[in-house]
Amino acid sequence: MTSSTTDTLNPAGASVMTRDTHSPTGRQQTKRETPAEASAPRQGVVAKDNPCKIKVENLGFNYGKFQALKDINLDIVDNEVTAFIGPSGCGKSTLLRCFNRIFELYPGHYATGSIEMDGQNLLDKSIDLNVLRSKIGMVFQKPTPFPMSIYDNIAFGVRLYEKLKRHEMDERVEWSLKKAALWDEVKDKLRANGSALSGGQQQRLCIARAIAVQPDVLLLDEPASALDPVATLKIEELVHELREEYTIVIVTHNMQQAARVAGYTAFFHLGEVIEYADTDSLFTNPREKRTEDYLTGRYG
Amino acid sequence: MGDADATLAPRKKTVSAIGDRVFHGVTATSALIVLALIGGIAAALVVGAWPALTKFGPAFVTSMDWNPVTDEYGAAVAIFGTLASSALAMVIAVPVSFGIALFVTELAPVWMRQPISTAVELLAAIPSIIYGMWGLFVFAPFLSTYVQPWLSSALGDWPVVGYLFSGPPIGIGIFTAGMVLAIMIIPFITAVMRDTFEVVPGVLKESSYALGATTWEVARSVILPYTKTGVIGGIMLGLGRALGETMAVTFVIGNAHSIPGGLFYPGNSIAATLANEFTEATGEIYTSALIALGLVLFVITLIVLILARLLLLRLSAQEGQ
Repeated sequence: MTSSTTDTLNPAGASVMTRDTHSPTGRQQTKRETPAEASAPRQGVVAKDNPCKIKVENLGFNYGKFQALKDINLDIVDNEVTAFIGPSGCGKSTLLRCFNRIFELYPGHYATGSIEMDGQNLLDKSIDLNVLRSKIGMVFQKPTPFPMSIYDNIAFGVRLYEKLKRHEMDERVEWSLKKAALWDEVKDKLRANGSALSGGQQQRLCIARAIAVQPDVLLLDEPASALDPVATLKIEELVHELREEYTIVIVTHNMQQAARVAGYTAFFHLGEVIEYADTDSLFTNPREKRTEDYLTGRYG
Repeated sequence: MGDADATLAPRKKTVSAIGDRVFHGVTATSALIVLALIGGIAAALVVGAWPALTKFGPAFVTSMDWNPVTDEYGAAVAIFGTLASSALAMVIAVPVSFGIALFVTELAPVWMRQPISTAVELLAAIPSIIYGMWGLFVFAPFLSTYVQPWLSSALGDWPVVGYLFSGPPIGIGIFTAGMVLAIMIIPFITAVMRDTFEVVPGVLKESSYALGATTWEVARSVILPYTKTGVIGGIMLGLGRALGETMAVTFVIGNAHSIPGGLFYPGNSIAATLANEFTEATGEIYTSALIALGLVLFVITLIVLILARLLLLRLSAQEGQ
């Protein structure tokens, strides 16, 4: 069943052009089909060969009385893309919001257990939240440009933690906009308001803003769900490239997107991790019945 | 398709179309009444003020004389009192209101938010005459006993600032008027700021917090720019009230027709002068001078509104198009 999903995605033998018209991701898919690319995610099962960046242990999460996450255990692999998939309300975004403790903005939301990164428990009360959040960048479902110029959108986060000279800041802004594949489109209007950009550009601006502070980890909460297919493709290509330097966790409703960009995928259901494996095995050979049902569209 | 086309023609003129036109007419009339009112009031003021304006000329706004006995009238003292007390009120009320609004929307624990909001709204519900009485009988003696002597001795020797805090600590004067005005306009500015802060999208705040910003940094760099139109609107609402506030100011400003040597001196405001003297105005020129004062207040408010517009334009130019 799942293999059929993969088949439609892999234009093996089929005309690439046709794929392109049907799915904007055809181009990238072709790229990933080269042997070197394809073998990359296959290297080993979760956390065997690759170092673990974030270790989630016995994590529980509550919105007041409602328990949204139950006993989550998960190793996020360093310098890889990990995708969280699952039906709405399964807790995947909730887990993402635990990593930078953004949930603490709201009263009654609390997490139990531990999330370990670089030997520190992120849920420890003694952790400086602002420093933590500067190390773990986040991009949200809807583009959220700040009400300021494109330049200042990038510089805002940098100024919080670094005192850069003017030309250094210029360089940083250019660097992050280039990383986010937005530089060529905005280099002539850096002083224009960020909200003047198109939705896809705004989202790349948000990604540029997140990487400008040079975090270790990038959390993407359905970053392409509000975008059109072309913009989605750009975001996916971007994620693919950023994986070389960052540990990326991406929440997505789009299973094909997970298959395209992620080295590892976790399937969530009702606040639990049902299955977690490298993306290829999860999609082609799911161990759990529930995973297979979800992947084949039988529910969710 | 053919059926749909056929039904289009006879439906052109129906009851609902007439209803729409009536509704359009009614709303348009209501809107035009506002314009007519503004024009009418302005015209009435100009006509009433004409005798005084022609007699005194431009000197009316610069002269400090206000003498019913010799029939010499100048508005400078009242204009100064109005502007000084309002400015003092803004200096106090704007930061305090910003603090209250930010606390209520961002920082306060949930159980505290509603009580504070309600208390602020109740403050707005107190009639101004009560503020006036309270200001005269309670607040002025308090200021005169505790605050003014301390301010004079602490800041009185400073250049410029010292001038502001000089004068007899009698509790009645421009300083007290400004303080009472501040208390009166805080609820209005706070309510507007709170409402605008509340419409800032949660994701926008989240994404700035997610960059590691502190609450202050989020407030300054994201919430304020996002809500600037509303915030400036709230400030202007407060300023408008402060400029025109009559009863409370009349009680505490001292009603002295002389340019005060400092904020502690008694002074006068346009509105207070009007309230105090309209019943006594006998001669034609006297009445006309008072109406001219009203016209001046009208123009000052107009200028304030225009400045607010210009400020907004400049702000939006700064952040790019």
